Amino acid sequence: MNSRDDECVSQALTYVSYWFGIDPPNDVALRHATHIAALSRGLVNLRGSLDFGSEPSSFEAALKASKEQVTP
Amino acid sequence: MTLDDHSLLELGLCELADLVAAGEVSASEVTQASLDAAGTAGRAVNAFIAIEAETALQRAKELDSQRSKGAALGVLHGVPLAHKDMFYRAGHTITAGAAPSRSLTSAVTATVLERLEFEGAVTIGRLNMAEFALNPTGHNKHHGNCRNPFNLDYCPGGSSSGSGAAVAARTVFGALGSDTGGSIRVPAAMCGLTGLKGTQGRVSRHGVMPLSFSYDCVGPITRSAKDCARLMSVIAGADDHDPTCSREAVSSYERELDGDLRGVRIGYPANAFIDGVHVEVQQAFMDALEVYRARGAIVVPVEIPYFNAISTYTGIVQRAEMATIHAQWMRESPEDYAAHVSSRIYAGYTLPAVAYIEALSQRGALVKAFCKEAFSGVSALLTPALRMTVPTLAETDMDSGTPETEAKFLSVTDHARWVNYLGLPAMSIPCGMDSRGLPIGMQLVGRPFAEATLLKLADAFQLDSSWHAIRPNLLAKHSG
Repeated sequence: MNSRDDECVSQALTYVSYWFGIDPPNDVALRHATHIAALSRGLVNLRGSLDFGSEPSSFEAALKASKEQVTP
Repeated sequence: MTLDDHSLLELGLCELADLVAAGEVSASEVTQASLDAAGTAGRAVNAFIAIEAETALQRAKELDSQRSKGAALGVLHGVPLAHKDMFYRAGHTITAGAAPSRSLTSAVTATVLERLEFEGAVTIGRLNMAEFALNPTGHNKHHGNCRNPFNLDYCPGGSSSGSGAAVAARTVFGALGSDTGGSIRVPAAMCGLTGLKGTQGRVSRHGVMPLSFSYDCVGPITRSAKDCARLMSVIAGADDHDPTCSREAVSSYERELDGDLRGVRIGYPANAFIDGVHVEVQQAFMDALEVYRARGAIVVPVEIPYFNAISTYTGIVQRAEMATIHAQWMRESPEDYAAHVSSRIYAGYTLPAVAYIEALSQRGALVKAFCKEAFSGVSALLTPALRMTVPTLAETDMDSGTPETEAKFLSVTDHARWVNYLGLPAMSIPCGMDSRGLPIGMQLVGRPFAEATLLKLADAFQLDSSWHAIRPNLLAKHSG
């Protein structure tokens, strides 16, 4: 965690309280909240690496399109 | 034919159904044996939240009466089952493994329960589970920890902990669980059982407590692939009550269990699920590959594509969805959750909406690209089910442990949860025992709607191995 991560986590706690009226229920929750820093880095690393993107409803169609072809 | 209770409970689900259908065993007789075992071995592993003896015996009596009148019999006629306590039955209460103050009731009965009972199954009770299906270990502060029948100090796996423990302890012949990130496959792996998570939408979720809309799957845990095929054939298929349930045709799962793997190609990961895998798990896995080769399969290394993207997106979707479902209780009474549950739910509120939508938006394209590359030359992928040997309850107790305990707890599902993002079918089957006498499992992953292929591969492995037939030590104490 760097200082920018610390700032982001702090802002996230404020955001959660503001939007949802929920405070960290325990110390473990505070520790879990810091995981967003690693998650953010994961998303940053993916930027530009995937050249596809569609809407969420495409998932069911994708499952059908990718199913096993059974040989008669 | 005369079988004592112990011998009855050692039968496979399909074998028992055949004997009941032939009139050699009555539904009442086997239901009583099952209830007795639930009260002894089942209690020792704390598998049951409720044992429903009166209704089970009444139901068994009705089934025996139907048989004596020559009525048509279902494929599960007289077979005792029990299920994770998250399937609604109209007018009755379920706990979802949570505090009694949060017990849930519904006006509907889960479609899967109706389908099993239409085929003649007898439900003998409701099974222990992780609180709101939110841990992979078996811990539960409200109903007591569930325990592994192979060694009571060890995890039975979760979140379908009671389903794994009850089936392994020979109290029932099969159980339903749910799988959002490994919750069928992990208890199957830890308890030496066979568990199947179908393709997303393969099995109805009508009347089932939700955790994550995009990932939740219902599926069976049994002692063998053949038994698993029987239960899956009953519960899979379209349901008008569940618009998310697929209308794809359901295969004849049992009919395809022919053991013939000549020329079938199986892939094992060349670039993932290797680092940090326990040496005993690695050895059991390599031995399993040889079993497949000996049966005529072609076993080849496969590069797992897009794994960083899949891993990153996997956690975002589940966290955001479970946080949404639990928001009201998190506001009103967060103290009613165990700390390991509320802390994980809380993390979901910190995620930006755009990250959640990005994860869902990429899902369709990623599953297409993944299948095109990973399955281009193989029918299924094979991985170790867990990276570790079965841990103890103490070393994964997040509520009283250290950050190291937490890390171990969180890594239990490393090999399982990515499959839920892709919505692919996956199974866990036993492939060895570790040096402490605990089961080791392996995971089969297939293309969408390839449940029949996975069951065939699992069944063929079990024709040439006996890991799935090993009885837990606990049973020596309770059944001799």
